[in-house]
Amino acid sequence: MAHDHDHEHGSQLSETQLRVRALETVLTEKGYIDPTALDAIIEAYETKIGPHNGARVVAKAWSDPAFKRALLADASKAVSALGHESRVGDHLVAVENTPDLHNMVVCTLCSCYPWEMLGLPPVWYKSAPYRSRAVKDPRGVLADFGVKLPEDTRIRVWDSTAETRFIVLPMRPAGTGGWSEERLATLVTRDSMIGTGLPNKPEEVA
Amino acid sequence: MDGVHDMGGMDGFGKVEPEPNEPVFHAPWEGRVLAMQSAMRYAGAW
Repeated sequence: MAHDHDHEHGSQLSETQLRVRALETVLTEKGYIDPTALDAIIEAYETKIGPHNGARVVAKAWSDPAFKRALLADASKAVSALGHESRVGDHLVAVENTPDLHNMVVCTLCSCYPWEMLGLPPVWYKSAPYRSRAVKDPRGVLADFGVKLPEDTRIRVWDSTAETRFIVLPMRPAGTGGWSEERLATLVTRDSMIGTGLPNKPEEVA
Repeated sequence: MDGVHDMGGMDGFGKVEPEPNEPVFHAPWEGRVLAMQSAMRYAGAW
């Protein structure tokens, strides 16, 4: 009896879970994939590929004027010099926020996003509300994130494609004179590099 | 480009709902599918 009971519980997998498991089994048996290699890929996405990469790039641009010029001139080249491999065919463009201009990135068609800098896109980035409203009502979208910009700040929205991805270079927060790149990187949030947020203030990470 | 995928400017989808501390994967199967897709691409299998 106990065995039957356990067995019933053991088979409570959703249809999606069963389908994914079946697919992995078939691909493994055909010799296309190795489950341990999948584990390594998943671990890379959970630990190595993420917004901390973009944060380091932003912090370096805040600290090193020559790097900032190189980044704004050709971001793909500038970040590859730091050891970040771009996905084949990707062209990375860095856009700089100033007191007069705020940049925001969307992919109205789907979910194009600079994975090597920011990791996998968040669910909201791929969602219909964000994709439909980012261009038409950027201030309304920013309000959904709790961000309010001065009225005279212009907003420029960049629509990504499979070939061209964007990263926002936010403004360096005041009160960070003399900070190291490592310390500056702690202020750089993922959303500040998409343009739906601002960097943390020094007192917020202290 | 007009089409079902081009959502720019469409109305009626409501507010954007950011998820605080969003996990990389919301369920283990999401990671398996992504990794399979990457592995198949590396293998040149599609």
